Amino acid sequence: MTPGPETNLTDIADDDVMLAFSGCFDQKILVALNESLAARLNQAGVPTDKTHLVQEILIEQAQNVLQHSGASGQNAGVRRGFCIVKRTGENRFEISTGNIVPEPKLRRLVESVEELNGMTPEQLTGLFQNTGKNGRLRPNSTSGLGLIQMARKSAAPLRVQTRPADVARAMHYFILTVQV
Amino acid sequence: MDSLQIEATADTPEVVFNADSGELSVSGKSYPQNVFQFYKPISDWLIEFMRASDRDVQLHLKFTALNSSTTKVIFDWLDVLDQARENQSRQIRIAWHYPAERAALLQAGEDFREAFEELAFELIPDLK
Repeated sequence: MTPGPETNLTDIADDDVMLAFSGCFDQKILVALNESLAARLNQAGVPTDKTHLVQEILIEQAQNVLQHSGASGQNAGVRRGFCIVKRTGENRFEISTGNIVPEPKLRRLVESVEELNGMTPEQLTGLFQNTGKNGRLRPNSTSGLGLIQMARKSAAPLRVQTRPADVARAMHYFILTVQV
Repeated sequence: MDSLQIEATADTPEVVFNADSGELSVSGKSYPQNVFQFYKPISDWLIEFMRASDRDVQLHLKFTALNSSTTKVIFDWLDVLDQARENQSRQIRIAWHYPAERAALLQAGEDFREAFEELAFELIPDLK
């Protein structure tokens, strides 16, 4: 099944789900989730290199959720979202994260993903190196490299699902899936 | 100037920047949520060291995990070192250490080496 905002975690509690989390989280919880994921993948006999790759994608996606979640009135650094890591074949995995974002941010994210999905591996590498050399890291911000890295590492185009979450406040679910 | 030493945590690396020898080393995982906040004093130290000292520099990068914002910090450090290479006479060497089986970390090292072709940049598969 494809995870979505209405996904009931009990529906996906099968052997192929390596990690499932939904709720409020922060960096400390992400560190714990990352360690749990490593243990689970190790237990499942996943090669070390693939384990680290899945972890890298989870961290990148979850930190995007922490950065871009549109929720308000919560403690600093605490955001609501979900993440699911699912095995889709022998040493093949899907990493999905979802959170609620305001409409303007949703449009920017979707446009960015569409643009990256249209690039060749060489173009992605050029964009990554150019952004790395010429971009600027600011306080409480990301580098802009995360989505590019995920597009480079994904075995298939990045997959985006969106749907309204709160029409009155123009808030939407943004769900991103990376395949490795 | 004083040397800089920071202990590793679950999501930040050990940092040992020796002002006397010019040996600078970063080891471990680096994926703090606020990368800017963690690395600001370290980047400030590096900039001041390159301004105030004429020591040769060996930068050893030994990451076992790093997020994309950490990657941006490394791009910025290499830019500082590349400018010093152009304008100063001292030797600057960068060693990117990685576990041999970690293709993604090798790719990260190759990204840096390609982006700064003039820097002496070595890829060393010696991490466990």
